[in-house]
Amino acid sequence: MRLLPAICLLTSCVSFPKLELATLPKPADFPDAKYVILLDEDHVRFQPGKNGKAEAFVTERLRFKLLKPADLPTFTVWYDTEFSEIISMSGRTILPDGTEAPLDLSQAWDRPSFDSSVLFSNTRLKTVPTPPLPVGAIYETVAVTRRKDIEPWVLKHSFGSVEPVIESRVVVESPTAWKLRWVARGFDETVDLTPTKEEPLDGAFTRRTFERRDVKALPTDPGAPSLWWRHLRMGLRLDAWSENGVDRRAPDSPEALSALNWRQHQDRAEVTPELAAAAKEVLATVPDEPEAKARALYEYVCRRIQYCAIEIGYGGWVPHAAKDVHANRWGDCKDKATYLHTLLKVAGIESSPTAIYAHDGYPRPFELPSLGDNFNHEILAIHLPSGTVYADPTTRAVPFGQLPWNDAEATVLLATRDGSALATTPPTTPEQNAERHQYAISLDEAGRGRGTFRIEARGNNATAYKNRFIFGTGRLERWAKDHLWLKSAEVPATRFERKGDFDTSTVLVGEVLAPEVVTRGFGQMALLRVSDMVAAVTPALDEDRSTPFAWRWLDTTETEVSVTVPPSVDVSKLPADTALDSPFGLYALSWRTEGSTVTVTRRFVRTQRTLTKDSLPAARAFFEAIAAAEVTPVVLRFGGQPR
Amino acid sequence: MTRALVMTAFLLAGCGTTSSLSRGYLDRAALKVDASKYPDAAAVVLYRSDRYLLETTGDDASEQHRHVAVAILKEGGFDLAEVRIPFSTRQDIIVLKGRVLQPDGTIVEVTPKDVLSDTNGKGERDYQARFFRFPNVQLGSVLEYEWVVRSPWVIGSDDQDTLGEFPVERYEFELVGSRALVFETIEYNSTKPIEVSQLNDGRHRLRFSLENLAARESEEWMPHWTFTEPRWSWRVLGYKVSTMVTSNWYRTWEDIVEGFARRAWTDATLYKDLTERPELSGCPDARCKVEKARAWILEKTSTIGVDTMREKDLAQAFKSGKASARERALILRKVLDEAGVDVKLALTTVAYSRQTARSFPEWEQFNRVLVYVPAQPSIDAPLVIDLEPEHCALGALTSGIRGQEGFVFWLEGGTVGQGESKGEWRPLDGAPCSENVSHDRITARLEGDGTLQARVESRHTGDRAERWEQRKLKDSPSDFRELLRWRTGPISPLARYSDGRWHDCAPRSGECGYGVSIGAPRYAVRNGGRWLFPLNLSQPAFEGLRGFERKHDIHIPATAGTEIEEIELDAPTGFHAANLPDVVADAVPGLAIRLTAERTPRGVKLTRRSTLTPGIYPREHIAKLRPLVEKVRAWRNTVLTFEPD
Repeated sequence: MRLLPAICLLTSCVSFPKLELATLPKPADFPDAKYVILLDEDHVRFQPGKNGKAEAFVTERLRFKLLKPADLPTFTVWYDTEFSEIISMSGRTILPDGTEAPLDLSQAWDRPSFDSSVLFSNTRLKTVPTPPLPVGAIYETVAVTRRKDIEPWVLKHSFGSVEPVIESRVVVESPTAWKLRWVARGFDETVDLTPTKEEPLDGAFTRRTFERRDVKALPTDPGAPSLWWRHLRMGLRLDAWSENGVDRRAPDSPEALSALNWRQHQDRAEVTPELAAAAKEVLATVPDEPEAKARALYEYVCRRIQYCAIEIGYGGWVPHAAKDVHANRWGDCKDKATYLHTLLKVAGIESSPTAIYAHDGYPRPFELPSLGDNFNHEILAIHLPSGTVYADPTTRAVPFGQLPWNDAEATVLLATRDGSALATTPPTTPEQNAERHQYAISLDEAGRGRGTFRIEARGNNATAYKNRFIFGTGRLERWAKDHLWLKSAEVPATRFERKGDFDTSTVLVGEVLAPEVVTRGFGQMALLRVSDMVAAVTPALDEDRSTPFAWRWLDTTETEVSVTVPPSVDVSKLPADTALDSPFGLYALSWRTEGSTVTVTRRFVRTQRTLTKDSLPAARAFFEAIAAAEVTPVVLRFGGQPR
Repeated sequence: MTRALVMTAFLLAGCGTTSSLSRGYLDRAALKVDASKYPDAAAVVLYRSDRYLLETTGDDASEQHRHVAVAILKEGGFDLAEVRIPFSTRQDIIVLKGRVLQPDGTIVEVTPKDVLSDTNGKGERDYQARFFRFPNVQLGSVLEYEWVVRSPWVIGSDDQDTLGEFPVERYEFELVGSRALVFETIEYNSTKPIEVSQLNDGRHRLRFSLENLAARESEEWMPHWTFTEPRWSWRVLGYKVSTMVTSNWYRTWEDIVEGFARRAWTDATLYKDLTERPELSGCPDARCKVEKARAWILEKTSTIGVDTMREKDLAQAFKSGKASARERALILRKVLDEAGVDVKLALTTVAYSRQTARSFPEWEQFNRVLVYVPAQPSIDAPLVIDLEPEHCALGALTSGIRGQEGFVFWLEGGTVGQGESKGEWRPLDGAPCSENVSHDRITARLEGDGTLQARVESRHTGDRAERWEQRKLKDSPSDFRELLRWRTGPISPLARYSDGRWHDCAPRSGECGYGVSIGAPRYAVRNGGRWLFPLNLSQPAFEGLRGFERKHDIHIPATAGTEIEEIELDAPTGFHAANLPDVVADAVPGLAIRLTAERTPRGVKLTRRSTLTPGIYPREHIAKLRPLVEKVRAWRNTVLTFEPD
């Protein structure tokens, strides 16, 4: 009978307080903002459900004030029919003259999520169209959902947004005897977040309130961390509770979570006769040596199993059985990792399915030891006599022993019987990732270039090339044009000279038309400059930038452009060679002539992947020195006497 | 085997019906592929058909059938193994089956357990879906599936969407309808004949097929896909109530607009709560009323950032200050009608925005609602009022509308939900609106150490002003910095921007833009006693027209216009321009350019002017355009020489 008052409290009794419109922010207070978020509140009530199982009612309330004639976010509730249900959606609008009206819910529509990366899950979304609103209007939405299974669930709340936030709040009510755990972080720091208010409620409940006010919108820049990572954010979950008199606990440490993951994988990794036969067939011609076997099985899985995700209920964390993956030839990341794990068992090689957050350049720190936190991907840790090798069989053509860039430097949790501590994947190095572009171009008397190119890439730099020959469709010439570093070039013909899927490197060769190799004068003078010929290696570090910058990976890039000029062209004295050495990278630019051919060679080794806010001035100076070298020209004089 | 497959279909669909549209799997001979014909393709569609069945005997119903067979040539084709079939809560999937034909000739059926359903949608607007993934797909596999969705109503019309990015060997379309239905179909961009026949049971059938369709590749300046892809549309013209009487559905353009006309003229709920009215009481005549009412709607609302065909609650839209051209047109028609002005609505298609066929009435061809005021006392000639642009004078039309024809319509005998729509095609005449001009005025100074200091003022008029206004409203400060980076980057890797700011945009007066200062050290090069000054300061232009090959026709959109770039460059003290380029003036259909340079007391003034003329030009025309594009490119790729005085 406790359920009814709760539902009443949270649904039919959803209330909209009277607002003092005159006291609310005005456009002049936030001249850059399209709207201001007056309130962003998550209200959670944990309680025993009618079957005694713990559940949570979550009320998400957003209140906006429109400051410019712009669009407001659409009112959409995502839910998973296995884990949650929508109890109610409601809202109101208040026009500048104070006219208040309830949100029209008759236009709401509910549909499967049709996620592009997941073929099927039980995720749906219900959307209520935003009504047309004038500047100065208030728009408020309230969604109440019930979490039917709180065990894997973590409440995530950011105390900031893309626009200014006046009041951001998390209110949590729970039986006083139940334990909560929360963690809060800023961009690169853990924050000790204590409730701004903690109070007892009737029925032996406690209410905790976490609040922040007047949170500014943050700027965005290329290569910067997402806003979610830079605002203060918190994760909160139930740590210990009771269900029908039985005490329950969530994993209390990474080790406990590791052991839980292990249990969830074990019955999915059964070696069946079909799997044993498949592994033996793969290994039939492979030397009896653990690394060679692991390599062969890894490549077999990458090649054979296509990516397809079907995630129903706990299927978001628990893989399909390896035998089904084998039969169907498809699976998602955890299916592929578990399949490889199972085949390795046949070969007598130990391995551990490994949870990881595939990042965007900013590896994510571990927060709460919950299934629903921290990780978005699964790879495999293969325990070889020479040490543990991480392998990501979801990738298609990453050589064994290497990881794709978004798995590198990442916090990982190996699933083991007794539980493992957190570990970190190794970084990729500028030696592993390299790309060399060579252009040999002949100029005609009008300064137009025509010639050949050769691109060799390895490591992460090779991935785009490999993906093209494995997956690509459409004309290769059109694709190649977009991958040249030579500016304004056209590709009349091209082909892959080396294209083994697990080869260390790829080679693409072809012909090139390059009309802008030189900047020509109206008379005889022309400039041959690296900055006009090829793409820059420098990032966008504007003077007013206040955000960190991250390359996705470290690499070594080499560019060689050989320009053969007509006999009648005089070539000026070549610029002095440049060599720059800094914590951010090593840079070298050199010029040489041989007969009527001028060759410039540029080599850049990125040695620091992340540029912190504090290091931006020094980094900017380094990259400006590079730019200065690249605008220094060779002067060509056309129309002279033939040599 | 065929019977067994039909049973499979029953099981997959989970219900006890089937469909006469289902033809069963294709013969193996039809599933053979010569991969060498498609060296660049990840997959080839060996067969696709779209079939429709319209029933009026017994309960009204429609069935829509899709049959696909696709050969996987590269791993990029594996994505095609994932199949999603969405359908509304009022529809059912009555046939769903699939199989994989493996390279070794074996066949793997999609079984019922392979098919997943999300049927949690309950409301009339909600959607549900079925999903499956073909098992054991390999390179060389052929994936074949078909589904039939049944709807408890007669679909009145439909048109084909794009066939996608892969080549298609054979495509078939078929429409079968009850004897009582009269329908028509049209093929675009194909010369294959439509076969019309009557089945033994009296039903009508229309069908056609296409063969060997090339893969669709995207390309800059390409026309809307409707201009290039073979495609169909069909519609039901009418329903034979008896041998003597036919009730028209979508026979004429009047039928097409009838629902809209009835809503506009007689649906009081459409105007519910729309209580505001312009002050017209002082107006002596219709023209004054039109002028004042139009000025009122423009003043009270803005279309900036609103989809032109949006139709939301009119009162809410009006109060919000943002309304679409369609919402504005409905309000203006109502207001003028109440004021005693003879007023109609018109529908048209913005020039070159999509392919249309006058002979085939369908709503989908329209993308702009206009107000049409016929000639009447005080109005000598009809006034066409397009309420999308903010900057046009009364009677003026943008280049996308001016010169088009519009279907002018009205309602006769209207009571609530009733009335008969009348209409006719009429030319949409009007004066031109402000020209679409982008004018970059660059004042630059070359300092004694080779540093470039420049101020760019970028101003836009016409439709472009409104686009920039929209951008100004939507862009965050970070977005604006991205714009400044885009403007600065091509000048020099050492170039830096400062003092960037939006202009006070006023689209109704037809102008919007921004300004930015740019400094670039080491921009000019000292060579002997002279300065060499590259023209990288000029913005790159027409980059999408530089390629040496062209796959599609060239589409210059209606928003195209004139680009003017003026660079006033002060030379360092004691230097003068040694030589200037010759004037370049050239024009071909679609593009005119004029490049001039002149000395000024303090340096030089360089002007680049180019005008694009909207239209769709055959791809061979690139041979004429490219020389002009090359001249513009070469202009930017030049060096000025400044010699000592």
